[in-house]
Amino acid sequence: MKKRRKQTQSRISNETLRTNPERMVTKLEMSSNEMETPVNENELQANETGTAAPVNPNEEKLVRKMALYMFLAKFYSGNLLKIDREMWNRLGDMVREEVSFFDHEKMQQGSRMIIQAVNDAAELEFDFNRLFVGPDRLEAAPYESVYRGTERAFMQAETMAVRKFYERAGLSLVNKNREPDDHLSFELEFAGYLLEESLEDSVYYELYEAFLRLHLFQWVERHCELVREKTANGLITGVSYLLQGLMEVERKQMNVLRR
Amino acid sequence: MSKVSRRTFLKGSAVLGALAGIGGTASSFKKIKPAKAAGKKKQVFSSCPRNCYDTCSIVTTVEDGTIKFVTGNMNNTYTNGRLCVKGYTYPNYVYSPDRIKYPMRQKERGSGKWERISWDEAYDIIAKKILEIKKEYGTTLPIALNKYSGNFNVLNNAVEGMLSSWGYTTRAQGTPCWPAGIDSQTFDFGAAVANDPEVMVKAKYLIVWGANPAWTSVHSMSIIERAKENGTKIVVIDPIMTDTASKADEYIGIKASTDGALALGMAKYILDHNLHDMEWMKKNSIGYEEYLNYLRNNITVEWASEKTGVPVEVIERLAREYAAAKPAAIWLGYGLQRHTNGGASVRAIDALAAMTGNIGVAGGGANYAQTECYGFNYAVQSAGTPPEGDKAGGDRMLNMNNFPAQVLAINNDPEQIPIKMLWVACRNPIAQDPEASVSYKAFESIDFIVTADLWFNETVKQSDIVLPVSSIFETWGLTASYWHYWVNVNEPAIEPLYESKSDLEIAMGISKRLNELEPGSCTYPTDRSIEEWISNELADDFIKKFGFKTWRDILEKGTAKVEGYEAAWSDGKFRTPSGKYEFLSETCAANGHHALPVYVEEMEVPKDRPIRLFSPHWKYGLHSQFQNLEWMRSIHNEPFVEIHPALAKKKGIEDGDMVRVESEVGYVEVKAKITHTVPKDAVVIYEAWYKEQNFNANFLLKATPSDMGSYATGQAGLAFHDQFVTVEKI
Repeated sequence: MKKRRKQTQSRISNETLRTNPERMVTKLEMSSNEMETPVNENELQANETGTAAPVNPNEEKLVRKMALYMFLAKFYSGNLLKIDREMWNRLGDMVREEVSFFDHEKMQQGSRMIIQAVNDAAELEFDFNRLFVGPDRLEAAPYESVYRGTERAFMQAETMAVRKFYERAGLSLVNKNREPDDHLSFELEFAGYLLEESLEDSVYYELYEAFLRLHLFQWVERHCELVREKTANGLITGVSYLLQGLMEVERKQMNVLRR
Repeated sequence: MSKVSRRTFLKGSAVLGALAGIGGTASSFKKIKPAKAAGKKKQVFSSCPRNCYDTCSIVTTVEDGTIKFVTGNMNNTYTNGRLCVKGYTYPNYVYSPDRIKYPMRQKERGSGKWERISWDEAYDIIAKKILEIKKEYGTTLPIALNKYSGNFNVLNNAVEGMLSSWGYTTRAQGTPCWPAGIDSQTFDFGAAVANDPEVMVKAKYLIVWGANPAWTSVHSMSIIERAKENGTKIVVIDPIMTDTASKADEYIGIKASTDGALALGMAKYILDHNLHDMEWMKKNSIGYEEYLNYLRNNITVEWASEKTGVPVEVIERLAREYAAAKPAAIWLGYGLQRHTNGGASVRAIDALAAMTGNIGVAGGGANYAQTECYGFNYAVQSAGTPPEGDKAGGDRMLNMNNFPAQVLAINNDPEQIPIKMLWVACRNPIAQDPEASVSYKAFESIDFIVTADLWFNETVKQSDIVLPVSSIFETWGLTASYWHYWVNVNEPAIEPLYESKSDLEIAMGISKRLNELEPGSCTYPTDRSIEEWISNELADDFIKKFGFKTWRDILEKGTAKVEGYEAAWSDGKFRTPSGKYEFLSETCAANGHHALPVYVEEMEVPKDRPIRLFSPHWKYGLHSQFQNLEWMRSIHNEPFVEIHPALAKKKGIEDGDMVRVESEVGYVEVKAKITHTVPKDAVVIYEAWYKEQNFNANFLLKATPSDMGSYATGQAGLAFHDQFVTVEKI
């Protein structure tokens, strides 16, 4: 059983990552499982409730973040479009519970809006598709390349950089080349995965921070602001505050200012 | 802390627990060996299937399953290693975030409220609708198809096969593009067979008549430039001073719709000065005496000058130069036949080429089009035959060029079997048909509309269900040109994006569901791979012609040329009833036209709308395609109307002013661009579909038929350029 390294010792400086991202990746490759198997679902998703063992506050924060990443990933994957008002009520409460751990106004605003806007669930799918799916031109395309590239096209350099990052963490999309790697739901799911793995190996925590810095921080907040310009749907607006708030919490912790 | 207890802690998260129960627990990722990550590079041959002269053979570079680069295939000497501005946008086209990704259903047409459905649901909804119609009417005739030239890959004929496999149906028949000219050449030669355009370089004299290859056939332009370097004189005849005209040695601005008069005037001069080729006419034609007598008795150069606005001395010099140069070629564009006398004009020009002995000569010809390269079995189409018991006994044909009005006529007539369902594929009829307002009404009169497309457009907006179609890079294909003599293969370069499928896969999918719901209700085969389908498409005689052992041999170079068309008709075996070139065509007369290529008066200009509207092709688009793409939008995304300074002055319009252009059927408000390139009595709005703009040249166009087209293509063409408007400053 690998020991979790202390973050203060193992964290690689921002500067190092910018200049030498390979360094930590090499370490990771040596330690990662080389089997080509699907991720074990039971490891990612909980299916029973139990009393958590006492853990230190840092780790608790990490797990709560992970839960929020997974919620946001699931939202952007389109899997929450068919759930009813009741389910949104329950989910909203749970999100509020996670959010309460972080004393951050935007995140709390997001979770409040989700709870207040459960009536918007009826129109959620239509609004969601108009913004993120189609068939018409997307009003707030959820792809990194759309924000960072100049050509409104994915599978270009921006998408390939994300793909490369996944590969360095030993992952590849199940639907590789059928769906672009830089879709927001994949990036959020990946961040959650790295967090979970970091419970066992702090190299993953370094990857997680690098992924935020190199990718999510580069576009997600702009995306959230665009979403709010384009929709009045309270659920979607709430999610945009929640996501943007989460990014701000991450920035504060990592001491990375938004440019 | 042990691994187990940490994971257990995760399970304490209520959100994660709840999420696990929604939408499945599958991860979007799989673990890979890092060494496997590096992707492979490959190059495959693709083929541009658009409705375009150039029909390019493409080399596509793929790395790690994504397209990196497209360029022209050097093995195809016409494509010659380069694409056009439209072709180079393909990577942007394939990877646009705005492509249609999933089958979707609209809550209410035009509402913009779309929900995602699975393919199984889509097939189920469609199949049940078909069966319901069949049960109610005893036939599938209430199902209509509107499909045309958005994708000329032979496999897309699966759509016609699919409809037939349901039963007899209603079809949009004909072609909006070129039918009048096709009829003319069928009457004169027995078929439209142009010389191989690569041989155009041998012409000593070249008249580009009503075509703008600098925009619409750039690969021909490089042939024209080479000819020019050899000393060939290039003359462009066009009412608009096009980019092609700007590169010519001489530009002749002709009054619209009077091309026949110019050809006859030239022929008269040639006859008067004994520059015609009597020997060729005697040997190869019938009716030449009657034709020459018509010239003698009815035509003068002065008359031609008055008609065309071209000075007498210019007509005379043009005639002299054309007759003296051996060989001399004419390229007849599709623009000149989009008139109420367009077919007659093409016949007059054909006759000019024939009377000077320029037919059957390399570097000569009256070059309009050819369909000699379509060496396909159309197995995807013939695979669908109506199942037993459809009481209709045959398809119902509507004119594609007046489809909305005919749909409305049927649906307003209780005596007729109504149109209840419409299938749209390879087409954006609401943007491309004239009289857009009638299109909306026709769509409203139909219960259920399915559109298969890559892009959201006006037609998708008025549909109930949209199906995502794969791009050319995601499936197999074979395409042939109607201009050059190459057949190109299209290999799959990448996996289909999202859930897109080809029209052929869709045909099989619906068939499968129909037969599950009601065995025997659909005849379309469901058990073949796309590769199996394509392997049946190249006709045996073409495989032999190309010197292949199997169809797969075309994959070696990506392209194969049909040889033997350097000088079409050089064998003197015309496909007319007489076997000769027919100056006098009984077939033409029997179809309600003149037997001789006489002048047919142009359409009268209405007094209350005295300004002619041209809506020719646009350089950054092809009908409703390409102009919607991001790369094109970044260059240009604002429609405009071109107005001559004299007309602008009269109307008090300055460059950049907004003006209202109004016709009998509609109006547009658009920015004015003042230019000397258009005639004083006409304006130009290029036909193109601008995404998200309430603008289309077709808002102004009336479905006025051209004179010919119904003999060879089933339906008359459209007089796109006989449209009249008023223009006022807003």
